[in-house]
This record gives sequence, structure tokens and C-alpha cells, in this order.
Amino acid sequence: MIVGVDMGGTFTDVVAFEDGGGVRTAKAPTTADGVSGLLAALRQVTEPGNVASLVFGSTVATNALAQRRLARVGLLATAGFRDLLDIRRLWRPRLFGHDWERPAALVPRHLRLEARGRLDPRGAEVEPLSAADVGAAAAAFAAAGVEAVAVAFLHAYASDRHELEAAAILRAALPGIPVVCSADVNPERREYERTSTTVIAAGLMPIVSAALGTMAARLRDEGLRRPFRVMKSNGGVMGIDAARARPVELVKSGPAGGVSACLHLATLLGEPDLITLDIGGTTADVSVIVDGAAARGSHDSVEWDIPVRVPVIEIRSIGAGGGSIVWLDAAGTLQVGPRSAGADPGPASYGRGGTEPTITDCAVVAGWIDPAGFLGGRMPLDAALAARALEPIAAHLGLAVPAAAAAALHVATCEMAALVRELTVERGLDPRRFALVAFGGGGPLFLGPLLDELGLDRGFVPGSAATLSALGGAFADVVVDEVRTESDPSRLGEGLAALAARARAGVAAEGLEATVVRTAADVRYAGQWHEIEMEAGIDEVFAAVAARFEDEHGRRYGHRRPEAAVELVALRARAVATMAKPRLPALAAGAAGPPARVRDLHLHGVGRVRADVYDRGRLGAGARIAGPAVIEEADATLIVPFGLVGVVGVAGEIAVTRDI
Amino acid sequence: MTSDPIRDRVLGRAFEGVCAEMGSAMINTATSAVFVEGRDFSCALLDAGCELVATANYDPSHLSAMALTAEYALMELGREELREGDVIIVNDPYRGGGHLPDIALIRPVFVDASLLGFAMNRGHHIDVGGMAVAGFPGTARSMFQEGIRIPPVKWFEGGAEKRSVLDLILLNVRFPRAQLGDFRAQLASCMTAEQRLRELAARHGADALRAAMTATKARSEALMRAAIASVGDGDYRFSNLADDDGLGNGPYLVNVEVRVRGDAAEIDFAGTSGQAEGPINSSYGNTIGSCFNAFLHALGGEIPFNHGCFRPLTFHVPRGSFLNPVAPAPAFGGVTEISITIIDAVTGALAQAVPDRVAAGSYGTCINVAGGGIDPASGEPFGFYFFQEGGWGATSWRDGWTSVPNPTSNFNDYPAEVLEADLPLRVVEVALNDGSAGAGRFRGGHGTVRTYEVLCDELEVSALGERFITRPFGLAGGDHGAGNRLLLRQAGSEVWEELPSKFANRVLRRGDRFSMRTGGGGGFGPAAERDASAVAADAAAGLGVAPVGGDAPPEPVPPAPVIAEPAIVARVRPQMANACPSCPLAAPTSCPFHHPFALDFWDAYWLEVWAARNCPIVRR
Repeated sequence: MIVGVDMGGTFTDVVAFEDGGGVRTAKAPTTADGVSGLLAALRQVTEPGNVASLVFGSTVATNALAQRRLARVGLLATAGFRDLLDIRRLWRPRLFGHDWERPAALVPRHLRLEARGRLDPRGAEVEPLSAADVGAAAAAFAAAGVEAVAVAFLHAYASDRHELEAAAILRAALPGIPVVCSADVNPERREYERTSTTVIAAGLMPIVSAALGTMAARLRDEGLRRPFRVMKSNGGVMGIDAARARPVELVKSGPAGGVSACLHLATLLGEPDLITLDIGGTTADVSVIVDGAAARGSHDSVEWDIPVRVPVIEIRSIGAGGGSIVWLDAAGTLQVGPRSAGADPGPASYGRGGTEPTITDCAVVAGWIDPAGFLGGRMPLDAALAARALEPIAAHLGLAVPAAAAAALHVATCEMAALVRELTVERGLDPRRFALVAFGGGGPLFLGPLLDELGLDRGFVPGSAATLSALGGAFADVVVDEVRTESDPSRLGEGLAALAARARAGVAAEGLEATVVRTAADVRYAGQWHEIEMEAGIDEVFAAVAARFEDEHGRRYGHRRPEAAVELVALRARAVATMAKPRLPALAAGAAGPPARVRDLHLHGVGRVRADVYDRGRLGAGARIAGPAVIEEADATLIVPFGLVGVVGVAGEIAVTRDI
Repeated sequence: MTSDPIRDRVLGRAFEGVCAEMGSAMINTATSAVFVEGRDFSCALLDAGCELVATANYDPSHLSAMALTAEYALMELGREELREGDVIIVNDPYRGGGHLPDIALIRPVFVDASLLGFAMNRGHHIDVGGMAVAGFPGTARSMFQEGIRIPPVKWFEGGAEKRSVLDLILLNVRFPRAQLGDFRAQLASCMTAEQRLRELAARHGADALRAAMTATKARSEALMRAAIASVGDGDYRFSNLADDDGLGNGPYLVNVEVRVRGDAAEIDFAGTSGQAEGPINSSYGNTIGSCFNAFLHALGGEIPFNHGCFRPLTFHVPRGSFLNPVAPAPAFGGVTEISITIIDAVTGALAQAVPDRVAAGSYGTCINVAGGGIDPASGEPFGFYFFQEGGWGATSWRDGWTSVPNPTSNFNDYPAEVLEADLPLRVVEVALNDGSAGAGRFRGGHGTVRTYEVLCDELEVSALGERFITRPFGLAGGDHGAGNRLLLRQAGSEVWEELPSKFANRVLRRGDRFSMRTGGGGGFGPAAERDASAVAADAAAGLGVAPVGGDAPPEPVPPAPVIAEPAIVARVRPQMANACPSCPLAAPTSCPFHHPFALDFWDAYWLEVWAARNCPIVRR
């Protein structure tokens, strides 16, 4: 049995693929230790002893960072640079206003020490490393009781010699204390990002190691016979030893599951270009899959201007989840979020004392959600309370209450569309070439409206929209990414070969063999600051890569620069061990049949329409439902507006396309 | 067009999105550190009346100068001369701009042969000629020493490129190759906006876009009025000093009175020092932009900036003062330095009304150090300009920010590893500046130290900084922050020499080191009331506060005598009542004589030229 787990803030979801082809899902409240909730959910499905493979998104690193529960780290920096952690990259989040708290540095100043010694940008030595300075730092770290040491010297991406020298001295003086070098964690140019990443790696190491160790022991005691794996920020998975050695790769472990499932979906559906939309209680999260690969962010941020520069799927969020509050600003303009009613008091329609209208309330009033059927009828909503909460806004806008609700849903749709545009256009991509996948409890509500707003042709709701993130683990491959700064084009092949070998070795350490190894180069015109990642082979000369870059630059930005040289910036390698994928059970064919019921939908720009309502569980593969219609399941509701049609696929997905 | 508040709301958001996409296009293709890491550019959409509708402000110093520049360009070129496919270039500070390196591109956007509005961006170019490599000549006596002045000219006319126009500009700058890349990035940005606006028009109709533009401005106006109304009626005065003009004159006094009446305010700079001989004059556009900056910081950080924000505010900026100088007075430092002096002055005035919404004085400078030479590795000329973060003032509820860009800017730093790969310089130190923060119940933020060593035979540098003498003020009994400093240690010497805040063309040699040290912010509340645990934390970090006190400043430069109205105004004005009703140009955005404040800053000669070319009263 292959099991995927998603540990959310409230619930832990388990999806289990039985060897016979069946799929079972279960849910239990998330516990503080994580593992108890996991076991509670798992046991609803099977005994741990029956599990052949267990993969989950681990929140250990994410929570430790969010709560600043890092180990006590000592930083050893190049002389003159210990304050980088305070100085940072400077950019303030808002141009105006004083209502921003600048986050505290990750390491207090008295634990940031310096050593003389200097390299130049090519890694050549300018000044030898002062062993005396390193020794003095080691003594000070020991006296201060640090639990981990980060070593981050200038230009260590070009040569690790000084860092290795220092690490040897530190390890000898501080037995049992992990010493983490920046050249190992993140050999890329830009000292602040590398230093921050190294400090976070060091600070997470004791925490993650202990937490995963405890978890492994507990699961073993409970009968689990195979070691588990965890999701990485890059959408792949890794074993527990790798996670302990490289805990920074866990920072986006949780949300990576949903994207990983979408990557599988991309293959399954033959849709290599996907925009993913995951709507939960507080946010709408968007990511992009291009040519079958999740778009990478340059880094992840722990807090404002505190980066972790590891390979990470870029996921951006806006406050447009179910609990996001709908309000009028001082100019009387309708706004959605980012403030959220949370779970308590929650939306007005929860009847727990909330009086401000939320997206969920709007969806109830506009007829998008059946208040009696919320969460499969387990938690009926109060439509009258939702309507009452919306009344002042409706009165101000001069609209009937349901029309105001539809207007707010439209505004939320447009905010999501703006986020999608931002994510695609920044990469020089036209959003209209993409298909949209919507999941999470709220995703399917907005799929149809968002297709219209963005001018897309098609979208999908996966078979189990609400538990897709848990599914992701079961479908993920072992993926090892390596990157390093390299500006000398003559070292392209040699550098890529070394990086590919390192990536392969990372896969081999998992007891697997890489089935796919891809290499690439980050390239730009001389003087530019923005690079394009181009596929680059180990046997290629740089000129060939440069020629392809010029074509790509022309395609993306509308011009080439004949007068400018092409520069190499960084090398990348990715090794993948493709894992056996559980088969999704094929859905039996069946017509749509008559609708289960009808109800009124309010759609902005359309008004009130009578829509057929179908129960998703009764639809067979091939069922075709033209809008306006509603397709309901326990945890999610799909709205099919006018002009769109939903067709159920054999994997249980519903494709929504233009009805022509 | 019937009103539709939801469509207006959604399109208003889309306009902001278009500006952000213009910004992405710039960042993705630009070639200067200044554009990309410095984010020293802004993007905007204007309506057909040349009023600002939406902005993507990466750098606040561009704020209102964006709008004034486009208005001026349209008046000067003539609205009827606009063609689909035009691209206008302009940089002149006496034509609504800020300082010469900020070069604007303006593209009129037509939908179905009818003008919908304008896409515009402004970016700081690394060089505009003049006496100093990469600009910032701290001792310039005239704008002609600061670089090339470009009136509104068409780079593209009706879709056809006029290469000679760009050639004329590129011949007058020191780094044509890189700057051509930046011009292309600006062009790509404008084309992006045009394409997006046309898509939006195709979907919603051009009239819906026009209606939404009007509504978007109305919304910002309503928010701005609500923010001003929350201040409470009163006359709030404050004055703030700028050190000197680089030529031995100073200090210069910014004297401001903010008169709040209901939901509107007048900002009056009467009593402000007369214009400077050196490059610290602030153009009219820069001065009023700085006022908006202070208002938005104190009152309305979330208000989308557009022409609606302009309506509740009126300005009186005496002609001939250093906040509204007469051409060709030099103005390079107006944008980077004096804008902050103005922001702090207006903030100080507002502090009397809303002390819990403002901060004490900031480190108050961009401390620009610009330079260049020949790179020994490539044999090619290189240029750079540095700007630096520092400490912000404390507020009534927290310490000031440490190491943050000043209020007129927002930028990323230039990472040492990138800088060393690009330039023949070694970064010796990047550290917090101990002893820079102003003491207080809440202390100011700390400034920083950045020290560089020269790795080429000759490096010519110029500098333009401020607040070396006058220190960032505290509020409510908080102490001053420390001032800024520039230091030089020549190769072989152990002695650090203090440099003035403004100089030009100083030649440094291999092995020389220069150090830029920014001050901290002012404190808030008496230092004796500081929480003991906060005192202990500062001690553990090894960071002290700035020394208290300092010498009383000398008498500031007096205000300028009132400048006589230009002769052309005296000639035209008496006849306006008779002649204008039949004149097709008689509109505030078509004619400077009808514009609410164009006469406050237009150069007398160019006003005459305009009138001779366009005004029926003069041509008759």
C-alpha cells in the first residue's frame, strides 16, 4: 500500500492506494507532534505494518522557522561582514507608512564573529585565512553554548578552501556540534542570501534531526516497516537521512504536495502547461507548471528579506480564501481580504458569532454553495446570517444582497487573475497558453469564473480536489537539484558534468538510480541582471546555448541585442529517480442523467440563473454537463458558468472547457 | 457610460497590474544595476487628459514628477501633434522632471484611432554627460554642468524610429552601450502597457476604461480627503535645515506651514531659503512630490497614488527659493537629498497633529558617491553610483528601522560579490554603524558603514550627500541621530580624512580606501524612559547611541526676494478674458496660462517660445 499524507493546520489527510487498485482516504485532527494525528488518520485506513511506502509533507522546518525555534547558531563570517544578517538586501515591503516591524536578525550580534582571510570572485586567495581568528571564534562559540555553527565567507561559491579550513578547526574544537559551510549548502553568488541560507540550515539541523528521529522511532514502534520519505520544497521527495543533512530543503515541504500532485496530473492529462490554484480557508495559492516542470522561485522567504535560497517551487498567495473578509474601504470601494475571519469565529454563516461577511458567506448567498450540504452536510451553514452580514455592503453598492455577494466573488476572482498574471508575465509567459487546475476546498468554486476572467480555454478539477495535497506525496519522484555560480563559459561542460555527478550521487544516497538527469545554464546578455534558464548539455559548447538564449530572449521580450555579448551566470543539474506511480482507479462510464436538483445561482455580470445541480459521486466517466450548472461533492463545489461545459474523465477529474 | 462600481474597481486593479507588468518588462531586460537592483524607476498610466491614473512606484522620488512631466510634454509638443506610435523622451527638471538622469519615456496609447491615455516610465540612467562620471557633481554651478537637458522629443514618430534622436542623446552620455539597453527596456515596458490596455479595451470597451480611469482617480481623492480630515484643522509649522550647497553656502532652511481645513490642506513654503548656487535645488515637481510622500507615509500608505491625491492639496512654493528654482540652477541633489529634507519637514509639521502616526527624522541622505575609470581587466571604461541605507527615526511605539533605504527611495543593495565581479573595487567592510542611533524611549535605527578599496590606477569620484552637519531630529524629547560621513584613507597612510558631503572629480589611486557611513534615526521620547531590557539588548549587541547635543547651526540662507512675473505673463493675462473663449487650447492641460500652477515653475524663455508658437494672443 502506498500512502500520501498532508498535515494541514487543522486536519491531517491520508490517501492510501491499495494494492488491488482501490483508494481510501481518511482525516484526523492534526496534533502538535504530527505523528499522533498521522497515525490516527492512517489507522482508519490500515495498520502501519501494511504500508509499503509513506510520504508526507513535513511541517517541522516550516513551523520551527515560523516560530523562530531554531537551534542556537554561531555565525563565522569574513572579517568586516558579520552584520550582513542585520543589513540584508534593504528593500522595504511598502513604499509608505510606518506600520511595519522589521524582523529581528536570525543570529544575535554577539554570536556573529569574524575571521580575516579573503578570496576574489574567481576563488583566488587575496589574504590567507587566519587560523587564529577561527580558533578564537571556536572558543567563543563553545563558551556561548552554540548548538550549531554556520560558516559563510565571501566568494565561497567560487572556492570552498577557506570554509573547509575553518570547518576543520571548528569541528576539532566543537565535537558533536554540526558545522555547516555555505559552499556546501548554496554555492551561489550574493553573500547575504547564501549566509542567510547557511544560518537557517545550521539552525534547523538539530531541530529537524531530532524531530524526524523521534517520528521515525515512533512509526517503527507502531509497526511501520519501511522508512518514510518527506516532500522537498522542489516538489520531489527525499529520505530521512537526506532530510537530516539538508533540512533547508523542507521549508516548503507542506505546500509542495499539491503542486506535486498537479505535476502528475500534467502528465496524466497531457497538459504540460498548468496554472495551479489551491484555495483554502485563508489564502488562494497559485503556482505555475511550464513544460511539465514546476516553475522555480529564486528563493523562499522565511520572513521579509530573510531568504532561504534553495530550489523551491514558487507558490504565491493572496488573502482570498473562504474566511477572507469582504469589506468597504474609506472610499466605499469593495475589497476582499487579506484579513481573515479564521476558523473562529469564522464566516458569519458558521453561526459562531462572526458578523463580518466572508467569501464563504458570499458563496452561500450567491447560491454557489448549498448551506445544507457544507462539508457533506456535517456542518450546515446559516444563509440568513450570511445575508445579514452582507446587507450594509449591498446597501452601499445599491445592489440586492445576492448581487452584492456575486460582485464580491467577482472581485476575488479578479484578484486571483491578477496574481496569475503576475506569476506568468514576470516570466515572460502568456497566461493564455495554460490550463488551470483548481483544488482545495474553495478552488473548484472559482475555476469557471477564473477561466473567463483570464481568457483560458480549459481547466480541471482533479478527482479528489480537497485531498490533493496528500495525493502528491504518493506520486512524487526523488528529485535532487544542484546549482552553482559559474561565469567562465569554457567550464560549461566540465562544470555541468561535476554538478550532474553530484545530483546523481544524491539520488544514489537514497538507494536509487537516477533515471533522468537534466542539466541547464542560467544565461543573460552582458550587463543584464535577469537570467533565463536554458537547457544545456554536458557535451555542448557555450555558443550553442547562447544562440538558443537569443531566440528565447526575442520570443519572451520582443527583441535581441546584437551589440551585447551573452554571459553565463550559473549551472544547474537535476537528477530524478522516477518512482512507481499508484494507479488511479478508472471511473466507470456513465451519462450525466437528470440533475439531482436545481437552484438559483447569482453570477456577476449575468444575474440570477437557474442551474442544474449534480452530485459528483453519481457521475460516470464521459458525463457531460453544460453550464450553468453546479457539481457538488462533500468538500468542494464546482460552478460551471454559461458557455462552459464540464466533462468527467476516467481518472475522476472534471475537464471544464468552452462549450462550442 | 453608466456607472458600474464593480467594473471600475476591477479595472482600477487591472491598471495597477498593467503598471506592474511594465515594471517586470524593465527588470527582465534592463542592463544597469541602477534600474534592476536600485529599482530607480517608476511606471505609470495616464488618461487622455494627462492625469495620473495608476503607478507602479518602485522609487517614490519619481512620484508626481511623472504627472507634471507628461503634462508639460503635451503642452509643449501640442496635443494635435500626437500620433499613434509616437514615443516621447524628456528629462528636463525645468519641464516637470526631477533631475537630469531620470529620463522619461511617454507613449500615447490609441484605441480605434482615439487617444485612450499614456504609458510612461522614468528611469535613472547611469550617465547623462556633464562634468562628473556617472553624475552627482557635488559642486556644479549650473545645470549645464550636470548633463544633457532633453526637452520633449520624439524618438518614434508614428511608429517610425528616428534614430538620430537617440544618437544625439547617446553621444552625450558616457556609457552608450549599457544605456541603449536601458532605453530598450523602457521601450519594451511602454509597449507592454499599450498591448495590455488594448486587450482590456477589446474586452470591456474603451469607454469603460475611460470611466474606470475617472473612478480610480475619484477613489484616491476620497481616500486622501478622508486621511486629511483625520488630521484635524490647524496650522502646523516646522522647519528643517539642509547643510550646504557644496560651494560653501548654507545652511538652507525648509520652512513649511501645513494648513489643514476639513478634508483639504495647503502647504506653504514661505520663508524658505533662496535658491542655491550649488546642486541642491529641488525642482517644483520634486518639491510637491516630496510633500505627497510625507503625507502618504504619515496618513495613507495604502492609497493608490494618482491624480486624485493631488486634488485636496494646494501648494505655495516661492519662485526663486531652493524648492522652486529658476533655470539653469543646478538640481542634481534635489531628488536624492532635498526631497528627504522636505519630507522630514512636512512630517515634523504633521507630527504636531498626529504624533502617533509619524517617525522622527531619518538619516536623510542617499549619500550618492559616483565614479568611474578604466577597468584594468577589460580595458573598458566603467562607471557606478552608490547609494546607501541608514537608520530611520523612532515612532511612539517602536525603535526606528535599522539599515533601510531613506523615505524618498527604495532599493536593494549592491551585493559585495556582484560588485567585486563587476568593478575594480574591493568591498572591505559592510557593517552596522555603532553610535549612530538617536537615543530615546524608543531609539532610532542604526546606520551602516560600507568601505571600498580602489583596485585600478585612477578612479574619479564625485559625491552628493546631506545631513553631515544637521543631524536627524528626535521627537517628543528623543535625541538626535548621528550625521552621515564620508572618509578617505590614502594608500600607505593610516589616517582617515573627513570628506565634505559634496564634491566633484576627486581622483583616487590604487590602494586608496573610501568609506560611506550613514547616520541613525532620531529617537522618540526621553532616553531615561527606555525599557531596561531594551537597554540590555543594545549593550549585548555592542551598539551604542549617538552623542547628545552639537553646535547650534549658523544662520540659514535668507529667502529670495519676490521674483517679478515674466513679461510674457503680464502681456497675455489682461487679454485672456476676451481671447480665450474662442481658443481651442484654452484648457488647463493644453495651455500653461490656464494650468493651475504651470506659471509657478515654467521657465520664462520657454513660456515665451510656447506663446509665440501657440498662443493666439501673442501670434496676433
